[in-house]
Amino acid sequence: MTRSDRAPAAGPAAPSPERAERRERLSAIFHGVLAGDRRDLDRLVAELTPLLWRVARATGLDAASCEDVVQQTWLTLLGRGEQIRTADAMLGWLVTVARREALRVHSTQNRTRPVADQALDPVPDDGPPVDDVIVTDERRRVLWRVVRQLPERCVQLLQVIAFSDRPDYATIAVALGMPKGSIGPTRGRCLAKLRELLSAQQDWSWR
Amino acid sequence: MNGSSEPLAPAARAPIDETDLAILDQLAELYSTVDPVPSGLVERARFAVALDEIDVELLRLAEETTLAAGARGERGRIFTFTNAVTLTIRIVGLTEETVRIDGWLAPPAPHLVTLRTGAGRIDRVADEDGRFVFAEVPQGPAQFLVRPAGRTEAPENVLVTKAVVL
Repeated sequence: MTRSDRAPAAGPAAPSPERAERRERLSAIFHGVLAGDRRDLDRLVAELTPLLWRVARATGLDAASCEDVVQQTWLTLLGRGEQIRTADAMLGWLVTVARREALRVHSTQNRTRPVADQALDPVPDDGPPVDDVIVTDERRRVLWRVVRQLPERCVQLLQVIAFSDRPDYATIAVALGMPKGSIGPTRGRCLAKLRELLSAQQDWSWR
Repeated sequence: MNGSSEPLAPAARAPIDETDLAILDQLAELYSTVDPVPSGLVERARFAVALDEIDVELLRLAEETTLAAGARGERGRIFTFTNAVTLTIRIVGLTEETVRIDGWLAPPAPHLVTLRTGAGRIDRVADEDGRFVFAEVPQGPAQFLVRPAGRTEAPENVLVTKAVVL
């Protein structure tokens, strides 16, 4: 069996109803928050905290500090929300604030490094290594093994992208400081590499 | 990855398809398993932003210290938050359900300090040394607000902390 046999036929993807629904919901919430609706702010926190958590964690910051970063990002939205002019801009703004906040905390924890340069550097993941034991499911174990073969910047990008919706991939990549074209609407190097590595795995099955 | 070092492989130039989305879904599931959002974080963040005040400025957490157990076995924590003022909070457990909070503002000033909990708000005006006390408050999520003295007519200058769990 060749690799291409194992992958389902490739072609432009139609958005699944579930994904399209989530994005529509988010868009309505963004408009509500922009108009000052507090219930929408509450909904937004629930919807996007998982994404902002990954943005913070992708910088390599420890978990306790990332909790602060996420909360402080939401409070910054409360105080500085007027910087956001359109609902479309809100997602990129939140990702940018969370990443900056995480890098800022990182720099105070590593005062010996110059702050200005650090913002542009990939930050090594000095968090506790995730034990293989946690990843008991075989599919997850294969994926985890493959992810760790990717360049650090790709890991940073893809773990955040995985928590977002396709029309937002390009915006989020830019907010993460990645070059334009890193992902969306085309696959980009990182996702192409991940897919290629997975194809080479004997024990990976495309469902 | 920077686009100029080598040409993009055809696979990288291809539009994202259902297989890619399936891989990303599984990646999300993987990260949700190995490094999930901490329990209670969403609730704490929702509590923190559920403020009547709209124009707030962030008092950032600068330091958090856990104190060694005291003579009666009580454990304490010290939080330091900074912005235009520095707010230091010491939380010591009194009973199973209540804590005592001692606070300091630096530079010292008689600012209005509000403790916001799920049960409501308690106000204290710091003394001339910048000190204030909440003698007995219930445990649970809580947030501190500082209104600089003399600016009570201008609530846009309210400083707020993240939610901490007392």
